[in-house]
Amino acid sequence: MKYVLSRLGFLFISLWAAVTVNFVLPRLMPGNPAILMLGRYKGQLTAQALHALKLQFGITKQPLWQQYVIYLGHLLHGNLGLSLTYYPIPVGQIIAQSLPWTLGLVGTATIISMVLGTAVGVYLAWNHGQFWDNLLSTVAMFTAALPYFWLALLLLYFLAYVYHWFPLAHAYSTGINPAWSLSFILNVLRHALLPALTIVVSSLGGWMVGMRNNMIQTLGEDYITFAEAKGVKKRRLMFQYAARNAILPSLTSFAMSLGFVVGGALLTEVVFSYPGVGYQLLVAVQNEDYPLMQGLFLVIALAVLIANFIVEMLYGRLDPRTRQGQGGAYS
Amino acid sequence: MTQSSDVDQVLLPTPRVRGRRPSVWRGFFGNKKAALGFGIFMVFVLMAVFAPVLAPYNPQATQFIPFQGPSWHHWFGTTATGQDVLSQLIVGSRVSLGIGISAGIMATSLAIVLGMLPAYLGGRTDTLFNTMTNIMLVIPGLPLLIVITAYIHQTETWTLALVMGLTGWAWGARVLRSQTLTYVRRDFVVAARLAGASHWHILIHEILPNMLSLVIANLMFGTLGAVLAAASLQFLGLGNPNSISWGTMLFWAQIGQALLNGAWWWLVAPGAAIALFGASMALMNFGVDELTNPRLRQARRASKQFGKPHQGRPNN
Amino acid sequence: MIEQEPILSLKDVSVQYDSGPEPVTVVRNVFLDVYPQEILGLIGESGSGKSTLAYTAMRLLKHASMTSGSVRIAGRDIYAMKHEELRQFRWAEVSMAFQTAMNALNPVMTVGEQILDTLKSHQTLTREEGIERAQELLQLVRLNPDTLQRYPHELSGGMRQRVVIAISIALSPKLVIMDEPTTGLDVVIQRTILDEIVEIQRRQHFAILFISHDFQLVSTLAQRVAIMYAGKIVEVTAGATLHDPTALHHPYTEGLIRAVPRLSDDQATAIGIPGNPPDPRDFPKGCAYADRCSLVQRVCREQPPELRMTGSSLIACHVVQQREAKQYGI
Ligand SMILES: Nc1ncnc2c1ncn2[C@@H]1O[C@H](COP(=O)(O)OP(=O)(O)OP(=O)(O)O)[C@@H](O)[C@H]1O
Ligand SMILES: [Mg+2]
Repeated sequence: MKYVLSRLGFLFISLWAAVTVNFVLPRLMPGNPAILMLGRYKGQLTAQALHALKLQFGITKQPLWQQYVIYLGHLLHGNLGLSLTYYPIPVGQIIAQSLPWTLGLVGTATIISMVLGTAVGVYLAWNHGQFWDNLLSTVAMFTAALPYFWLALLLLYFLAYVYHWFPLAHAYSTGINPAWSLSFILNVLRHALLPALTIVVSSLGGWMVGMRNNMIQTLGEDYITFAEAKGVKKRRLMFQYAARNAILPSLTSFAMSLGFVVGGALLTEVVFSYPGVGYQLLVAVQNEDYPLMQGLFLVIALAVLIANFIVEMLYGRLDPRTRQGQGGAYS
Repeated sequence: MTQSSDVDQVLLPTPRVRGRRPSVWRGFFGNKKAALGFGIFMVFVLMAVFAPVLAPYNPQATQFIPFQGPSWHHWFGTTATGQDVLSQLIVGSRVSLGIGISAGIMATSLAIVLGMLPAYLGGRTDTLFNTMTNIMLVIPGLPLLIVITAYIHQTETWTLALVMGLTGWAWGARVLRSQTLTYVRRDFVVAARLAGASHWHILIHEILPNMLSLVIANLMFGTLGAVLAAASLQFLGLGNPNSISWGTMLFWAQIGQALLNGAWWWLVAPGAAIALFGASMALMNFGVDELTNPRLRQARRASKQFGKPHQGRPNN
Repeated sequence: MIEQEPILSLKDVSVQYDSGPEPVTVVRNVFLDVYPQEILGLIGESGSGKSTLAYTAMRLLKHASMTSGSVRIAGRDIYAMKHEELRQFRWAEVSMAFQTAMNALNPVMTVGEQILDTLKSHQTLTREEGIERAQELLQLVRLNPDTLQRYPHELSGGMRQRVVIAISIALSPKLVIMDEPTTGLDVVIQRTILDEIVEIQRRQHFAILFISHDFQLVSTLAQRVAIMYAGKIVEVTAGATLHDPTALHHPYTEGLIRAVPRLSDDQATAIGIPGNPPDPRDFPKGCAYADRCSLVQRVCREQPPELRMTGSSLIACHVVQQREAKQYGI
């Protein structure tokens, strides 16, 4: 219980930090960048919208703390302002439309990658020093260094453009209407396959090598030798004794590297014009649509922080030592 | 601290023994992965240093037929505006490596200060800095970089390096902190303190040398991360598009619709350079890992490959 | 007792570690038999190879290999067994309580599960039967039955050690190897655990190979004592001879006897053995103890001595063997 509370506490502190970064950044930049933005969009905005934007980005005489309070108040009401690119659609609405796509694609691909990588890592550690271990752990060095978006571009070119095995872009064919029908769902899956493959291929190596190294470390522990001695069968020894323990540090690094993975995965959306949060972020950046950009950053941070929290709860369940609040992933 | 020690257990440096450095280096180059990584790394460094001499053409000159495939005259083909891809690749290595390495050094230095010092001082300071580090860790890095550079507007090269150095220290700080914590109460540190050594002296002369392998690993990961992140930002058009780097090459390739024109070489070359450079970092790091962590070595082959023995006693 | 078939028999066993830059041989040509129901003490300085020998006897070596010799348990060569055969055979015949009981238990499983695992890996029994048996075992080592639901980190060092002992007697083996079962515990707990071990041993009649560097403890506890120095057994003798001032001993054993603090003349006296044991990477050609020995002669440096029946003990020392021979005029 103490553990849960401390993790919840951390979730809130980090959320607050993300929110505050969002508030501080534009005000910190030399020559408030929002002034330029407002100059560009002035003609299209209502007076009320203009005023709200000025307040949102600190082009006002109000003291900083008042601006901060107002900003927090708006956030609490879910008010993220209006997008300029899609004026006058509220930022919240754009996020609501793009978030499910990202959660579906990036979330699923990341989980697949982690599960697969971990399983292979266990296998490699068990066969440490043999053919597959040497081959795959070296190959992983290279895939870990691949830029996601570059791999995405290559796969797109060869598998979609040259060979037509996959669609070129978007989340579903432009001709059809979204509906809960089998054909639509299949269409969506077909479109998600290649971006998901990109994410899995580029992140798999990291999980694999991480788990492999943890597992090798664990296999050297005395409790493994003791269990082997007392006659525990190989399968149980490998999973219940070795992998169960080796996965704990893996989970922690999973929690911590989620931010990196998501960043890379968002770029994949850009390449595939996949209508998720990452793609919208690029749109926002290119159009200097700061309200949209701020909102998207917040929602990305929120998603990562919550995912992180879930992983920590899982950690707490898997490691009896955390249940008494004796430290944990971050203590 | 019950579990975070196994979190960072990938590297378990054994306390330093004076006069054993040379064998560590011998061990490093005796490790195939590390030697290969170092070889690739040196090729890139030499390429960047001698770029003006090595580049066959002026990388900016738009004097050739656009969209030429690889040929004897243009090993990696030409761009949509008729520039030589190989020349761009060679000259671009300067900016890409420059950003990567300087950001890596900056992030590592910050990690040393923000990780070691609070851990050494302990108490509230440590709690505060540790929380800060953990927050930095979980806030998604690339989106944060995108937001910052979007505000800055067409970021100059050195600004890019600065921003990445300032945001990339958290992982290293965390690893160095937990390692420092294990040293603070060790005999040799306590002895130094009793002998009246100053805090700085203890940190720099007693603790830091023991963490050399961690610091090196950090430097390599920091550099790798910065090269990848810089390429991503430049690809999104958030760098200075007029500078030549691997990332901006990819940006122009995308703008110039390289793929729709079948000019795969334009994309493959800079991306492969990034991947290869990154792999050299990962390989060297893997080598250091195997060197400092006896369990990762294979018993038999190891007996011929490494320098001095480590206190690896898995049974005891 | 001598007529019986040994439960554990080591013949000419040498072991080398392969994890360093060059292989290091740390156990050299060891012969040792353990007979049913006896307590055999194995004494030696830290690093003399006691644990390595124990792991060899269990076929549990990691990063090391047996380069010569054979290990027989209940008459069967365990190094000739297939893995599955070994898995089923080993713990039922010979078990081992590890030196590092602190780390011998899986941190993410309850004590109960870990005991059950031991039983289930060898027998078919229902969960209820298993739990009942586990509770019996805990009672034997004087632990509360509700320890079954606890995790290792919730137990004290002494409790963990008891759990390890419970696991090692779970299948009623004929021999239990105890590798310094009480290191790291405070003196009072050490004593109670030892008493418990002896009591259980009396009731269940298994043999114990008791590894320790506590000379005094072993000499009172064990019927026979083997003394190990630099990877070799230098003497095997009855425990009683260690308290007999007239008995013949290896010079190293003599040194150990003198090193025991004696409360005579109203003051404690203890004389250490000067010098250090040799580095396993660089063992001398002759007797490994020569550099520290006060009786050293030329032959000692040239030829390694062999274990021979000398007086009432097996002793590997040229000088003592010569003296004995002279005494009986052979
Ligand atoms: N994994 C290993 N790799 C290399 N050498 C090892 C390894 N494990 C043990 N050794 C060496 O083997 C020798 C014997 O070690 P062992 O653990 O058997 O000694 P011990 O008699 O049990 O000592 P202690 O009383 O400290 O437990 C020592 O010199 C030790 O350094
Ligand atoms: Mg030992």
